Amino acid sequence: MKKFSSLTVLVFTMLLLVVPAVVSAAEYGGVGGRPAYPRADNSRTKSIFIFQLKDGQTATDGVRIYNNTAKQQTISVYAVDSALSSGGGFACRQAADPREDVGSWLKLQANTVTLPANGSKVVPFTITAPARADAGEHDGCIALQARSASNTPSDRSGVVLSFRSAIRVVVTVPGKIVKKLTLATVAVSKLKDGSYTIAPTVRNDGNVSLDTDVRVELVSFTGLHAGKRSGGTYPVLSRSQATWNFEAKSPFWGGWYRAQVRATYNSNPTTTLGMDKGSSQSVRLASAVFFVPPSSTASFIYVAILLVLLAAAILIVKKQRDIRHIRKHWEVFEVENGVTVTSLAKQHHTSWRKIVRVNKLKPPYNLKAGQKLSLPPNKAFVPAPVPKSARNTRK
Amino acid sequence: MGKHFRKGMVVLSGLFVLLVPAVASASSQPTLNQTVNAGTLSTNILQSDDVTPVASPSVAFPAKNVGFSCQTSAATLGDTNNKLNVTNLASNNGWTLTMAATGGFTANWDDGASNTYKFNDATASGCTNGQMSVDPSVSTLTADCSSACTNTNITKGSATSFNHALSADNVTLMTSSSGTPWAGYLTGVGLSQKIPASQHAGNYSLGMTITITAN
Repeated sequence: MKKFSSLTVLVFTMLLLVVPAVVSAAEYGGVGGRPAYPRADNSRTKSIFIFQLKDGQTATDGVRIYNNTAKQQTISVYAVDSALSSGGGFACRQAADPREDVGSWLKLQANTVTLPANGSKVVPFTITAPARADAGEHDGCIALQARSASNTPSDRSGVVLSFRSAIRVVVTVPGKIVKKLTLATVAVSKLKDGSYTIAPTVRNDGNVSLDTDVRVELVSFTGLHAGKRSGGTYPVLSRSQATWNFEAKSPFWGGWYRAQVRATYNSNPTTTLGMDKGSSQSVRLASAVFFVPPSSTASFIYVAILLVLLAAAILIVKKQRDIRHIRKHWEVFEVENGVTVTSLAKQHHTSWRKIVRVNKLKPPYNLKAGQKLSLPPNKAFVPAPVPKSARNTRK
Repeated sequence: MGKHFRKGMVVLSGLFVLLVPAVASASSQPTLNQTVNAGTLSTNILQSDDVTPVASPSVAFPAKNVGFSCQTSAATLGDTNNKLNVTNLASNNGWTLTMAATGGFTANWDDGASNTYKFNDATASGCTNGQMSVDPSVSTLTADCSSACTNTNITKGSATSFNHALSADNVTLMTSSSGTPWAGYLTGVGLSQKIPASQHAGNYSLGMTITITAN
């Protein structure tokens, strides 16, 4: 037993020593990279490469490759041209595709890197703009692919998946720079879960990409804001259209709405990507007005309110009709000795409350002989109503 | 006496291990070191534990019989045991997750016996040579990080058919406008492939690469 307790203390001691090492070896993320030498004056260069190169000019830089997995990885590094993905998204061509633009301008010093677990390494490269390159922006990618993430469809059927990460490379060739963005359409569609997709489409007719701040909101027809704004800043590539599918929850109360979109971009042609200081320009567009059905709870509340209103209306109409009926048909009678409100009610086939209300009697509703009261005509009893000339005017 | 001494020594060594870090942190020359590696932007297919990558991931389409007319076979990319994961621990201004044929726009479905059909038919119907469609809009996006991590800045792509004539060689699965650290996954991305009439029987495969790009 004593041995056991001593052993427990020792194991506990060993655990204290070993656990930090285990924690530091935990796997977060995978294989990726980033610019090795970001510029202090452009925060965008922390995540993508941005160059401004004249015809024939060469720049040098490097990509730092990380292996944040728990295993040693052999990683392929290669440059490819960019491609436009569906919805105007930025994509990179495949290693098998021909290189005609930035993918062919960029020369990496190594195409394969082997990194230990949690290791990193810089692979230097040069990039040269060819002579007579078109003015404006040219895009490409540096792609990184762990060999273990490369999958060949040799002996399996179906779609065989491989994975890679890539870093955008932007080269701007000086010349006539055009920045022009227009909002083309705003499409609204309803999803199966009842929420809505607001899909603005913007068009960049310029020759450089534009970091565009897109903001979307559902606005009620009355002008009251319905929901939280959504959106963000997205690159819109040159000479292309871009569409985003923003999801918006269905407004609780329903009603008539329109989707309002505002896109803001830096329209100053002298500023480069990531240096967006100075003039900005906004374009706005709204969708057609559309009807949003209320939520089930809101529908219940609407129905309840309607029922209450309907009941109130019925009561008012009934009361008005009653008053009209009283004014038209009730006659003034003179109270005889010993008659009470309840006995009158019985005789005239009506309620004592009604007699009290119409004649504005006060509790305890004692009647005096000779007192005049409006009462329904009673064919079977008290045949002699007060003559018209002797009646009090009833309100 | 000896046993008590040994036990006392073991306890003392345990206390020493516990106390040393406290003493060290109070020292004028700290000896505690902690390295935080730069994060990466990466994508993979993970198993249901959200950690273990799926070995040789693939998407199987249901078998079809040889037919005289064009047929459509549908499948799903991403399920509870094959989560299309994105982890963004890098400092960036946003990213795009796209899907394209590994062999480029000239790639084909291939049975290894010289029989092929295409995934990016240029015709509208897609039935002449074969065409694949991808619909991320029907998928489910799940954030898988801290409670502060939301899908606010992430949008899913629209349904798209590969069509080289329209330069539709890449399909956007997701886009993020923010470089905020985020991890999550997509499940239920709709895939469908039109198989041309009278296609030879065989086990066909097509390599596709999913790329995450910092942009």
